[in-house]
Amino acid sequence: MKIRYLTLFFLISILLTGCTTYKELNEIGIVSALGIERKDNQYQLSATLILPEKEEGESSYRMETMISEGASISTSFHEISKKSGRKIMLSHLSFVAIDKSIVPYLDDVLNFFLQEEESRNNFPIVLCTNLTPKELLEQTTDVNEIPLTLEANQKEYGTTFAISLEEMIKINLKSDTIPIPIIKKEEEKLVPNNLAMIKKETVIFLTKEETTSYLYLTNHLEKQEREIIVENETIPISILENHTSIQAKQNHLRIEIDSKIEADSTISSEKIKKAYEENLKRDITHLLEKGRTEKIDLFHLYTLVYQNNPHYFQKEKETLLDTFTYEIKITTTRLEDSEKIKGGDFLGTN
Amino acid sequence: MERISAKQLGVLSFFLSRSLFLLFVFSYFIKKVHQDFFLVVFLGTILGTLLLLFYQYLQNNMTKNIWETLEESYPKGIAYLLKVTIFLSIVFLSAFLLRHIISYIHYSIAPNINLFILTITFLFLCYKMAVNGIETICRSSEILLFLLLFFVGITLLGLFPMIDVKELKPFFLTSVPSLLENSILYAFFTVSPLVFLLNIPKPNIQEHKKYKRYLLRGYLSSNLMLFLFAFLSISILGINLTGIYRYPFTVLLKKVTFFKIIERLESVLSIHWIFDFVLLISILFLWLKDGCKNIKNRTKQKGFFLLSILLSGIISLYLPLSSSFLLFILFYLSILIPFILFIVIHRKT
Repeated sequence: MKIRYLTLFFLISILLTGCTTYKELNEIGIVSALGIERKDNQYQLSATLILPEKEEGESSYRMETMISEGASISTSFHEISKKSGRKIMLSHLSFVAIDKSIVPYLDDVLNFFLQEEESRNNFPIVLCTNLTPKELLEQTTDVNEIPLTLEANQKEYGTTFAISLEEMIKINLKSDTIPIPIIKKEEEKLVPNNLAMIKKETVIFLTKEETTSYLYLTNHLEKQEREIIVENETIPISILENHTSIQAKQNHLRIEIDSKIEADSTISSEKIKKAYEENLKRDITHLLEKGRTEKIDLFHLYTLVYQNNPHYFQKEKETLLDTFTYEIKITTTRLEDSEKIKGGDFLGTN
Repeated sequence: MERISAKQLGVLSFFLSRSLFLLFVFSYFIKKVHQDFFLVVFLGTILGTLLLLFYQYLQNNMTKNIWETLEESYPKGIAYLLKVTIFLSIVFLSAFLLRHIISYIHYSIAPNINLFILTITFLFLCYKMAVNGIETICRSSEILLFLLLFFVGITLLGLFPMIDVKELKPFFLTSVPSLLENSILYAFFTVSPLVFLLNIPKPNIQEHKKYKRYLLRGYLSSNLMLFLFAFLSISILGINLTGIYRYPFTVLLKKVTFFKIIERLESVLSIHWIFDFVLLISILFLWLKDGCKNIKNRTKQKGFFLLSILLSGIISLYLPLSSSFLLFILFYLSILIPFILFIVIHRKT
């Protein structure tokens, strides 16, 4: 009896080792960047693959960009898998690039990643304007470059928004307008360039100021360099910290912005603060009015009103973008000189 | 006779109460009541506590296990019919739960491993625990509790900076009848797995006087844990994404990060949800083991027990993953078995 149980145990132990699904390194292809576009009613996929290799006991890898076409994104992936002869893995994706042709089919792209169990959905998605996703992938030498540049631009300069795919899906479920960062080719260099808003099948491009205002309104602005004019003199100021909160009471928005700035100027703090606040107020008002005139939910107005008063939202949803009112309150703190030279004594410079 | 302490049963009740929420019950409620799920948890816990006290009252009247009680209470033919009904219900229920937990493991931890191999592994583990008896199951639950607290602690630390309380709004969108209906369902879903602790006769429990206290503590802590995960899930993923994902709790764990250095911990951190099922299915197998003893004669009982477990494993491999099965689980777990138990015990007393 015991021998029977032991035999059963050993049989199961052999089955449990996972050998049945074991994959050698040179049997897998890791997708590190992906470009999706639409041509002749077909999805065209360009995938930068990391292809691990085993040579004489040593492991190495090579990078290759592969292209495939298919009626759906899944079939295009199967095509890539067939071409490379490897099992495709999506768990280490660094970014996804799309172009304007994919905008009407954006839901398909989002659904694909939502259903893909391996995918982590925390990678950014970018829109290419003056180059195709395929060209973008071919020009990218380091796949981490795009996400890192996006993040740096958002955090240090406030000129773009590194939105992750999951964040995009989240916004898509609440609103009909989705923000997406743009990647442009400028003098042989790939640079993030402002934001675009996707509404159904149309793309609305934002200017640099509008992009910054969007970041202010959605509380995603961390740092920024700005120029303001005080007493006919152009002064560069640095925004070191910013916090925005929006309270919605029916269709009235109360926008409160709290900024900490630094300005290298002898002009009095009061004047600098006033000029900064006026400048910012003008930019934000412009964005709010753009949303009103173009009838697009540029700053998640629907979500704000719905969260605060869902019954009112259901009643007034259709006219909300026309009728909303707002007030903007900006509080600015200028970093005093005494705070700026912290550490100066230690370095022996002061 | 195996004797277990009231404290151990309290820990076990903690795991069993929350067991059904990982797979589909949470998503079911989120789709129905949205952010008002928090209210459902509150009302459901109150109703569930009353239901639990009622079940506990039933257990107080039991001096023998359910199979022996059935035999004593009814004529031979009826008792046999009832026993077979309960036995088959449990085989099917085990298969159903097994199907869902294997699908979960396949999704979150082992996507490349064959479902058959996963099922065999899980069956073997639960079989071994059931063979070793309630004492082993209870001791395991105590060890697993420490692991669970450790994993939940790490999850909380890793997710805390991502909480956005604005996502919790709006409240009070569900009508009062719907709120009540869902609270009653919630109470059944959290208390029903505890019905399977009724198989333990009163004399087998040490410090029986403290039993009710520990049971309630376990139940309330379990509800608190569900509240916490619902809070994390809704405040981080948002209500829409929480409703869309098949396993929102696991997707949530994919986000756990410490300074963007320590990442990809979800496979380890999600293990504590599997503990619930290891314990619940082991308890179900324990029922089957006792049932086999009672239904079959002594020489054939071991083979019969192994056969019934293999049967549940085979059924599980062919069951479809469908939400219509929710009705089955509601029926078997929450209505049929407690109802039969109620009739049996009421007649006995």
